[in-house]
Parts: sequence; C-alpha cells; structure tokens
Amino acid sequence: MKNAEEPRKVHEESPVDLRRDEELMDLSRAGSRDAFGALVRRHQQPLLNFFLRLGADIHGAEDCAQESLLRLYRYRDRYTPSSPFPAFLYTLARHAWIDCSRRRARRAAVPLERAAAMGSERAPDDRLDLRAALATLPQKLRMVLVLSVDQGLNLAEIAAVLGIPTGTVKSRMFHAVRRLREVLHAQPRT
Amino acid sequence: MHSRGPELDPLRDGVHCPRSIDAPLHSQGILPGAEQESFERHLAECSICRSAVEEASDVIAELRRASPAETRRDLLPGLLTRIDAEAKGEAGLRRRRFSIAAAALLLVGLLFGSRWLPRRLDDPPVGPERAFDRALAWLEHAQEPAGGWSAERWGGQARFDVGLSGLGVLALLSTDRSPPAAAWRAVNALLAAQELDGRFGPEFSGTLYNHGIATVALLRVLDARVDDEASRERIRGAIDRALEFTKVAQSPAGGWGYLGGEPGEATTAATFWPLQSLLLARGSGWRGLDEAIAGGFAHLKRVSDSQGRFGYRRPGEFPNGSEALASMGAICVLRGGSDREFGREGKARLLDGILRDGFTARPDGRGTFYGDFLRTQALEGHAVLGGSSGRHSPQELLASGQVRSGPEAGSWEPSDRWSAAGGRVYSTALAALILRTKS
Repeated sequence: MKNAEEPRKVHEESPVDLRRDEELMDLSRAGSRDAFGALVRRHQQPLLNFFLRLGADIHGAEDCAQESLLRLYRYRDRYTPSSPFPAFLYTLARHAWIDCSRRRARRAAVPLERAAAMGSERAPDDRLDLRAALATLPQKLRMVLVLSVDQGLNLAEIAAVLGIPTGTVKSRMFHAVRRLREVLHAQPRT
Repeated sequence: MHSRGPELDPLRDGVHCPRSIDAPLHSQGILPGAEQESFERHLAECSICRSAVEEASDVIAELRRASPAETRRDLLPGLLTRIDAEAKGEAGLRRRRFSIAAAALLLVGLLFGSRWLPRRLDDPPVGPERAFDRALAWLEHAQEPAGGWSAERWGGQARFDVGLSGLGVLALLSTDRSPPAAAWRAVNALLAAQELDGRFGPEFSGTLYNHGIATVALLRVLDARVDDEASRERIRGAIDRALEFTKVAQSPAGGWGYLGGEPGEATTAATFWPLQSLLLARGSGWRGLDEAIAGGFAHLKRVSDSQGRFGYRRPGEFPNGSEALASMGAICVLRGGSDREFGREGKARLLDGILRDGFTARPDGRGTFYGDFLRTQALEGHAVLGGSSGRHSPQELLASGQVRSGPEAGSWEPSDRWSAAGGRVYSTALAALILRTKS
C-alpha cells in the first residue's frame, strides 16, 4: 500500500482524469472508454450550462448535452490534436443546439402545468432575471456571449466555432453586452 | 452595473470611438496579446472606451455571478448505453449485409410492396435504440402547440386526433429517461379533450378507440413520475369520469361495439381498448369495475373457437384476418382472464397461434403497425409467463424501415391498411412502442 504522504507520480501513472483534453481524445480514438468517460465527466456540466444559457430547460439541456457528447464520440477520428479542443467540442454543441432548435421551432412554448413538478429546479430570482434578459437577445448575439463569458473560449476559438471572422465576433460581443445591459436596466429589480 | 456612461454604438452613433468594440473582450482578458496591450495604451487617453470597458465589466460580472443551476445528473451511463446500442446496430447491419436472409427479405419487400422498407437506401439504418430516439424526436417535432397531434396534418383523419394523442403519450412515456416535456403537454391536451360525460374525443362510430386509448394513456401517466398531488388528483378525476363512460357504453351482453351500431353488436376490435383500460385501472386500485370486466371477457369467450382464436363478432369471423384479433384476445386474457374461464392450456394455445403467425414482411403484405404492436404486447405477456418469445423479433427490421433523411426523418411511412385513419403519427407512435416492447 502506498504511503499517503508520497507525492503522486503524475507523469508515470497519470490517471486519465489528469490528462489534457487533447490527450484524452487521442486515447479515445485508440479505443479507451476510460478516456472518453473522463472527457464526458469533465465537460458535461459546462455543456449543460451552455445549453441552459442558450435558453433550454433542464431536460432540453440534458438532451442537447448528451447529443453533443455522442457526436464527440462519433466524430473522434476527425479531431486533429493540433486544433484547440474547445473549438471542436463547441462546434459540435452548436450544431446539436441548431438541430434541437429546429425540431422545436414549429411549436410555440406552451405553459406546462407539470414542468415544475417534473424536476425543473427553481432558480433564485436573480437567475430568472438574467435568464429572461438573455432570452431577449438574438441567438447569434447570445451565442457569442455564452461562449466567451460562460465557456471561456478565446477570440480565435469563438470565431472557429461560429465560422465567422474575429472582427464579427468582436462586433457581436459589443452589441450583445450593450443590449443585455439595456434589458437588465429596464427590468424591475427587487 | 449602474454606472451611467454614454450609450455607445461604435458602428452607428455620432459620438463614438471605433475601438470601443474591443471593450467586452478586453474586460474578459481574451483579446490576443498584442491587441490587448495596444488597447490598454489607447484606454489611457480615451474616456469613451474607459466607460465602455466599465459597462462591459459590470454586465459580464453579473453574468458570472448568476451561473446556471448545477445539475447532479451524470450523462455518462446513458451515453455509453447509446454508444453500445449504435455499435450493436452497426455490427448487426454488417452481418445483415452478408446474409442471404436479409437479401431475401429485401426481395420480398420489393416484390410485395412492404411498407416498412426505408424510403432511401443511401444512409445506413440505425439500431432499435437509436431508431426509438429518432422516433420520439419526430413525434416532438410533429406535436401541435396545444400538445396534441393533428391526424389530418400527417395524412390521417381529424376525428382520431385524441386517440393518436394517446398513442403519442404512450410512446413518449416509454423512454427509459425522464419523460420529455412534450409528454406533459400531450397529457394536458388529453385532459382538455374530455367531455362532461367523461368521453374523450368526438362522438362518432369509432369513439371507443379514442376514448379507450386516451384512458389507457392516462393510467400509464399515473405509473410514471407524477410527483405533485394536485396533478395526480386531476388525472385520477379524469380517469374516474372516463371509466364511468366506458361502463355506460358497454353493450348489454358485454363487450363494446361501434357507437350508433346495433345494440349488442360488440366487436373484439372495439372491445380491446375499453377492456384494457378497465384491467389497468383495476390493477391500479380502482374499484367497482368487476362487472364491466366480466362483461368484456364474456364477449371474448363468446367469440373464441376451439383453436383459441377470437372472432370479430362471432367465432370464425375474421374480416381483416385473424392475427390482430388473436393478439387482442391474448393480451386481455393473459392480463386479466381467469384460469377457470380460459384454462392454462388455453392461454398457452393463444400464444402458440401468435408465434405461428409471425411478424411483418410476410409475403401477403398484410402486416400492419397496429397488428405488430398488438403482437409484441401479447408476447411481452408471454415472456412474463416464462415461455419463449420465439425467434421472431420485429425491432431490427422495423428500425431498418425508418425514414432516414428529409423532413420526415425519424418517422415511418404511413402506408398500411390503417394509415388512412391515423397517418404518420399512427405509424410512428406505434413503431416507437414496438421498439420499446421487450419481446
């Protein structure tokens, strides 16, 4: 049995959870389910947050996150380690979101008597305010804001995910912040 | 958050600084290195940009403070299940590609116009699990804003909307995951379709199809996760009224018929769903149903023959074949018929008949989604009794017939005998239910 005080030999016996995303993708490509599991556990919560921020309810967010991660598995051979992993993952997530949105586009939101009782978590008021404010932004502005503020992607990564020039990212970010500020100021605050 | 800087628009406003467009990225520190340094030097001499940075910082800080709710659900187990199912489906596909049986099946389908063959053959089919997910996605896509499904919009008849919505609910509830929000919207639509006398749907000859399916669907809803007592009470109240209507609509000699038909003209087809609803309700604790249930079984006993088959109105009468009627009778008898009336050997004979008939893609081209749905339900009961469900399993074949591309991807072509009434919602909801039945 190992001495508890003994420092962990990260380089020699690195558990998959300590490896970088790019390494985990390499291992996943080689067939390691542990590596893929580590990627899922690392990114599932950020992905759920991503879809919640984009306007999904908790069930929709879970569906989209699962779909994104499934695509990550399916397309693992297409990933090139030289490109940033977040850009790859969130490109898949954006496409999953578009597909989910298309499926739901034909029906209007209907108040659900059952929704609250079926596991939706009641959020504090400030969270509701912000969620409502975010919902007023056009999708393309909201996407830029969420990718940068919540997901921590840099300018080049956001441009890669959205397939737009960096100048357009800047412009969208500026307008997103300005419009969100206007909406938040217009809301009655408690 | 409350600083009152100028309202800036670097692209439109008369008083602006074009560099303020960098403010939100600078405040997050995600401008590329050289640009970040350049912008910082610019800030020292531009008050407009300093205000823009301050405003952006406030908004971003507020966004970060109110992070979305944490969820505790681990997506990995479900994800690995889906990956395994896909892998199995692909392996099965590879095997089938080299199998003479598959080639023969395709030939039979082409020769006899099987309705379950895929519309396009360029995309590979998926396994049953994935096909089921796609079917649910299509049903959600096809759902009306009010929560139900429109038969007419998808090639059926509007008078069957309520029954189709019941099938939609049953399909959405059959997932292993939490039922999607669409299921609860559909439940609301069903509840709204109930009349004061307890009847679901419009009054016409086929009322009992709508009514029976809707009642069964609501009983299944109570089996699912309905946590709050108010909703449970509302659903239970609707079921109470529905069961009363069912009892009133029963023919004097037991069984149920088409509304407006001759009194006493009960048919096995019209009896199936009302009797199912009564059996399910009794199993869930409803009382006062025994007499009506006995009446239903009296009909089945009356129309059965020595081979264990169930006629339509009398023994040996099979206007649309004997297979679906056999399954209807078997489901009811196996779930609620007494050994005294039907005997254990008699029950086993029912299943032998169903297994002998087989599933879809038969050369006579008479297979229907409804028939196979009933057959899988009956065989599921067979498995419970400990017998073998035989070598017939329609799930893989069914998955291979799913529409794979275009706007109807995820659905099944509504081309069988009953599709003129139910349309694409009928074919897809029943296909989803067949895929989920463990036979």
